[in-house]
Amino acid sequence: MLDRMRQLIRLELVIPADWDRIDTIREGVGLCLAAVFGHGEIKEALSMVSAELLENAVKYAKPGPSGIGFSLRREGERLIVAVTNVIDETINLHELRERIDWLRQFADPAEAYIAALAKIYEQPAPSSNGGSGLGLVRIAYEGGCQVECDTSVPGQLTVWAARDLSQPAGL
Amino acid sequence: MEMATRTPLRDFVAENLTLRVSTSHEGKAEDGISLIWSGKANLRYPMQVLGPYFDTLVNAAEESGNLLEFHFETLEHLNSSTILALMRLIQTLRQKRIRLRIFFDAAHKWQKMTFEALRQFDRNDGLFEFRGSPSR
Repeated sequence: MLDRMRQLIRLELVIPADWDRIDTIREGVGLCLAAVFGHGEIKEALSMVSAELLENAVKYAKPGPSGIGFSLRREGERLIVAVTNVIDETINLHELRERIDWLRQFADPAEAYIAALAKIYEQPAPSSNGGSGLGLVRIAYEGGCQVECDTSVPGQLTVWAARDLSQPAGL
Repeated sequence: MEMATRTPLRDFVAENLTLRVSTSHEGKAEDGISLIWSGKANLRYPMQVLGPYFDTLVNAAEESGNLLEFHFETLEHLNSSTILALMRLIQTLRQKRIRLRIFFDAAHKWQKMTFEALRQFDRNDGLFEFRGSPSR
């Protein structure tokens, strides 16, 4: 029984869509991961992943009283970070899906990240605050995660990042 | 004799981020400006918040040797929005032929991955230099 529960982690939160809460969660997730997996690369990577997903959720969540759902859990050999927020009709989910599909084209996420940086660098007009998709590509590259989204519940978006614990980290 | 008017450059503090103009840091620019990044670069609107400071920084660099050094070794966190702001600054520096040296701590994997990726903007023209070193 204890052996099966080795390195188990499960964290579920609902937080206000408040930018100032994000760093608290980033640090908290880092501490939880350090407690289970040690102060290594997993802690560093998944705390960054949590912050990037939450930043996107806070930026694009429908204004109102609804909170943002955050979860971190282990499923088999994968660590999964999932962030859920309420969305309105103005959010371009097609663009999000296109970005995720674009990311999937690359066997090596480092190549995707380099390509995303180059694309942004060549843009004559800066996209001022996000909207570049760099955060998602960074989750794949630095976080070593597969990125997916779920829009099956109307008016709700879940973006999740899964890290395969059986695979060595990149770089 | 007329004194040259220099752009005043002060430290910058916003939320969790501090940019300190260094006068004594090891490796500081001999004839330029050295900036120590510390804390957490997790601003929601880095372009708006950092942009005016970067403008002042570019002006100051043009007046003092066209050389900037950014030290990220003690920075704890950098969000992707701030990476975008840094890229825009790199574009400006290249247009103005201002040299930039970036120092990072290669012992921190996130720093190594973030700044190694930015090396692609090194066009072998001497404008950009990346130095990854372990913590002192």
